[in-house]
Amino acid sequence: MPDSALALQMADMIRRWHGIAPPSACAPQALAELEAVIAALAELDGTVPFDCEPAQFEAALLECREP
Amino acid sequence: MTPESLVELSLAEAADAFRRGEVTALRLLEAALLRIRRAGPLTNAVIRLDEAPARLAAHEADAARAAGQPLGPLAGVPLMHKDMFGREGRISTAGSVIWRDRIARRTATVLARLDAAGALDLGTLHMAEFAQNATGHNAHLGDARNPWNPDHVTGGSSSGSGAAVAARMVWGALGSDTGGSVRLPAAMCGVSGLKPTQGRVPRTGAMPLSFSTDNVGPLARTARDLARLLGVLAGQCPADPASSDLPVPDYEAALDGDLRGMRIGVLEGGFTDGAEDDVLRAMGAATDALRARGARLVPLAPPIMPAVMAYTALVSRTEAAMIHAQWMRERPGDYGGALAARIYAGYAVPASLYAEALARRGGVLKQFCAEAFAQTDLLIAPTLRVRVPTRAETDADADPANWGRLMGLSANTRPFNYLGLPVASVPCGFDGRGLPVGMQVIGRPFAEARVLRAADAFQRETDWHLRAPAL
Repeated sequence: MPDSALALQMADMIRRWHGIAPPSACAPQALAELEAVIAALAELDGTVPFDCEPAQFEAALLECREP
Repeated sequence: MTPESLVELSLAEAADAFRRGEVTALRLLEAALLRIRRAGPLTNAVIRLDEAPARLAAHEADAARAAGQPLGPLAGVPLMHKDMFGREGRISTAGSVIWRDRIARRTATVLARLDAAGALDLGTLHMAEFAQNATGHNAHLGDARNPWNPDHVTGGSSSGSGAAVAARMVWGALGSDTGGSVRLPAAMCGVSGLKPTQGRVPRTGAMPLSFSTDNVGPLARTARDLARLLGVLAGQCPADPASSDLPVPDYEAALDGDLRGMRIGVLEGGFTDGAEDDVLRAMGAATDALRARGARLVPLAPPIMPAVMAYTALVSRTEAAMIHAQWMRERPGDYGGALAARIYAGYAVPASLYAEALARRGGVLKQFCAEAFAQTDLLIAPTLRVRVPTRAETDADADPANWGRLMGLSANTRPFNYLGLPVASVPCGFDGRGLPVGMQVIGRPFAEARVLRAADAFQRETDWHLRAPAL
């Protein structure tokens, strides 16, 4: 089962919101992976420009085609 | 031609030989069946063999050619596909227990297009459960086994597609790619694979994993084969509103072998950090081959990668969790342990961060393209940073300590699903244990023709794609 404080919190939240318990022995590893994602997102803070209008991905694909 | 020589033809060569009347569809089918009977059990690549309908289709193809009727670009060529594309009235298991008895209510657009192009559908192929691992482990079906060495993984999740094409059981196969699931088995089995631009190939009737990053793509022996298949598969489908309405170019017409003037960025930094020597050696030789064809190679630090990697980690994970929520509540024991854990973590992603990852996707793509393609036309990178691992050392169900090694395999492929870019993986060498090494060729959105042109030119300069496992 999840063994870090954050992983325990995440497991509790998942149980409350979704009604799903840790399903297997790999669950701690899977949640621990999210801790790395959280750290990566923290490092991003303020570095990625945010558009007030969410950028349309399909439009961006067309805009980025070969000239 | 003998059955042994027929299976050594590429898909394009086989289709052209049929068109010219040099071989019948029935003989191609018999050659494939011979290989399947031998290599199928060794690789565990086949889920279901649809021999009777394929025989009927072969007879019809031979009759059509004899009658001088128009023939499609894939006429007479047997294919098999990852078991996740619906065919009306037949079961597609998605490699799972949960879909074991699920009968498709409609035929997937991609299968219908292959049918219309004259291909013979010979059955379905092994896959990771619900298309969610990078190796081809499957707790229900047993693992797929690499044709070059059965102790090693095939790559996944289109495990059977990679193994079947490499073992010459069929001339081509469909896979799907949400984080590398076409490119990884292509690289690990020594064949060619293509993840198209997001929206280039319709997904109607294909098992969903992540609506934002799912792609259907082909695996085959050569870049020319991929070009032929993509020409059939691509194009808008009214039933898939996410499919692009851009015209479909003649991809094969772009294959001229000439890379003079083409600028190719060699991705470094995050794409080569920690890469094994065998991989770096193969990539070094690959740059020499591209240079010999006239390309100009320039080292390139990949731009905006922290954002790409962080957001990549959120989107497909969250969408897969949403799709599987009901089954995860009601029958979690019907999932393999590693897969259940992977899905489980998706429920912990805050909705605001998932929305942020999607809202910024367009902006991140624009910044990536503006910087990465400012001085280049294409990019290259290893498909994997490591050699093809063994099945034992990546089996997280047997030992959860293998989790990190398992999840790390797709580090070089996942970013391009978030970015939505077209990427081919082509064989570029072998490691010291005799397993294949793959190289990704990455283009701007909808630049599949340029990607395939470079991949084809590379294959005119090398012979890695011609080598076959001894089975």
